[in-house]
Parts: sequence; structure tokens; C-alpha cells
Amino acid sequence: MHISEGVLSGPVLISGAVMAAAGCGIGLKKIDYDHLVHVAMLASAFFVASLIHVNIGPSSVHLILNGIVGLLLGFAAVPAILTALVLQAVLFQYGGLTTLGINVVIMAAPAVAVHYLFVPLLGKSPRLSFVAGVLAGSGTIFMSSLLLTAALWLTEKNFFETCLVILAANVPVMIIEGIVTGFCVSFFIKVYPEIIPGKKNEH
Amino acid sequence: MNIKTLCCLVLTLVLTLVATVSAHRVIVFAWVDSGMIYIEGGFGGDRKARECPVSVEDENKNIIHEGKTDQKGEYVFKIPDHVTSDLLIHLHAGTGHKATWRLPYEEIAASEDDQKSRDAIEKKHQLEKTPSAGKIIVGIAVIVFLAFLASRFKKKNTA
Repeated sequence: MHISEGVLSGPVLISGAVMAAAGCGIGLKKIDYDHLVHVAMLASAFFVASLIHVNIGPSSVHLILNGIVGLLLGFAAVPAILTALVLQAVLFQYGGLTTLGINVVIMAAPAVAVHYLFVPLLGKSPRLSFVAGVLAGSGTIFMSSLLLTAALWLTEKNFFETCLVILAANVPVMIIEGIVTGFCVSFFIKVYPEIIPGKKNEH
Repeated sequence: MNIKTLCCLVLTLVLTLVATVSAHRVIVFAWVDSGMIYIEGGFGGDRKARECPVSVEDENKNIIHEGKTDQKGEYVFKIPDHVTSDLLIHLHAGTGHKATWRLPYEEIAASEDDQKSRDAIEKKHQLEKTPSAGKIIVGIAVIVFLAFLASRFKKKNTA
């Protein structure tokens, strides 16, 4: 999911950087400074997740975890994901510094979207919470794939072929992320419900 | 469960997983031997970049050769005629993944320079290394430090 240096055109990179900067500004304003440890913990999880590979047939896929990060942090996910992506680019050479903005948009925009879509369902019942987690995890990968396709399309102009290739490549990630996010949400609701948005004052 | 216990659990899980992780980045490297250019592509560890398009450009961005890696992630071709500059070898691994290797003109001109081939292979081994646990811990430490700074900054502003 990390776009490398030299793939996208200048206008796409600049637009991505502007959108990422705007999102980051909103995120910094909306961060709950009493629970910064949550942001740091989830940013760390996102930072490490890309290193965890699952072998599927001849290829391998890796976790992204933008679903759980977005679900629990909302707009604060943008600076968290930006920080993790900077560190991944500097320490592991994933993606690149010029593609940082567009990579943030691709991974953080769906994360913010699932927060507003699925947080109202969390905590209503264990089963509903798990399903919301699964949909959030899978949904972020699906939306990220579409944004990745759009970024490549704006540079290369062969939308449907690119879209099919990217979606097909990410179907295993959608399934795995959905399951992982579902179990994470169920786990947090049982052992640490304070991390769930809207549950902070109930304990 | 308090936050400290939770953080310890997460850290333990992360460090356990680190032992089996591998990198996700596109790597390409190339070297010259006996009039041929050897290209190898991968994603770190033992994962090879199979059937990936390769393009070779001169410094003026003219594509002077194109090909595709085989099942071992390798591609070999004869040094093109009339090369007068460094060559940029691009490996396109699809869905926004691309890596570039610069092959210096001096290496192409002196195509049997063993030392340079050894240097290229050494660099390949460096690139293929799985990110170390040290780098991962540094990354997490930076995130925690930034959170600490933000928290201090906010407290100062509200005081």
C-alpha cells in the first residue's frame, strides 16, 4: 500500500501533501490530550504492523491496521499515521518522503471514515461490536485500495485495469484485517473499554 | 487492566512478532559481469520480484532497454551499444511499487571489475536485511517521545 518514489506525477504528490497537511491540522486540534498514550500506542502498532507478513500462496501480504487506528482515534488517526509513515520511510525505506502526503491520504482518509461509520455500533452488543470491527478493518482496506487506484489513475490513466489488479491483490488483506480488527475491538471492549470512543467516562 | 499492563502486553507482542517479520519494500540491484548486466529484484528476505517489468534509462531519461524478471526475480541482458552515461535501472513491482538502481558508467566501461561487482553484491545483502529490532524499538521510542512532548506542550499552554 506504500507508493514508492518516482511513481506518481507532481500534481498528485502536491495535492496529496496539501490534503495530508490539512487532515493533520484538524487531527492535532481534535486529539484528546488526556489520552495521548492511546494515540502513541496505536501509532506504534501501525508502525510495526507493516512488518508482519502473512504468506498466501506464492506471494505475501502484510497487515496495515489503519482500520483499528481510525476506529479508535477518529481524526487523531491522521497525525498518528503520518508519524508512523515518516518513521517507516526513514528507518525501513518503505514508500518515500515525496510520496508521504499521498500515502497518508490513502491510509488515513478511510480510517477517519470508518470512525464515523462504525463507532456508534461499538459496545451495543458483543456480536455487533465484532461485526463493526470486521467491517471497519475490511472497509478501510477497500477504500484505501480505491484511493490508491485513483492516485495511480491520475498518473497513468488506465483506471479499470489498475483497479482490478489492486483490489484483487488486496482481497486477502481485507479478510485478514477485518478479522484482526474484529478481534481487537472485542478484546478492547472486554479488557480496556476506556479506549473505545464514547466509553471514556463510563469507568 | 491498567494502561501500563496493556502497554507491556503490546510491547511483548510486538517484540515476539519481530522475530518473524520481514520487510515490505521493493529492492533492485544490478551489476556488470563479462559484458552482461545482471539485475535482481525482491521484496527483502527471500521474496523475489517475479515477472516484474524492468526498464533501463540513460541519464537523459531515454529508455534504452526493457524486459521482465523471471521466476527467480532475475533479468540478464547484454550491455546496450553506445552507452555514454550512468544507467538507471527501474523495477516496476506494480500497484505503486518501484525501485531504482544507478549503474555507474565506469562500472559498465570496465565490465570485469571484480571489486565493483563485490561492492554491488555487498550492497544487495545490506538491502535485503530484515529491519532490525533496534530500528523498530527506535521508531516506537520516537513515537512515545513525540506523545510526551505534545503532552508537555499542551500542559504548558493550559497552565
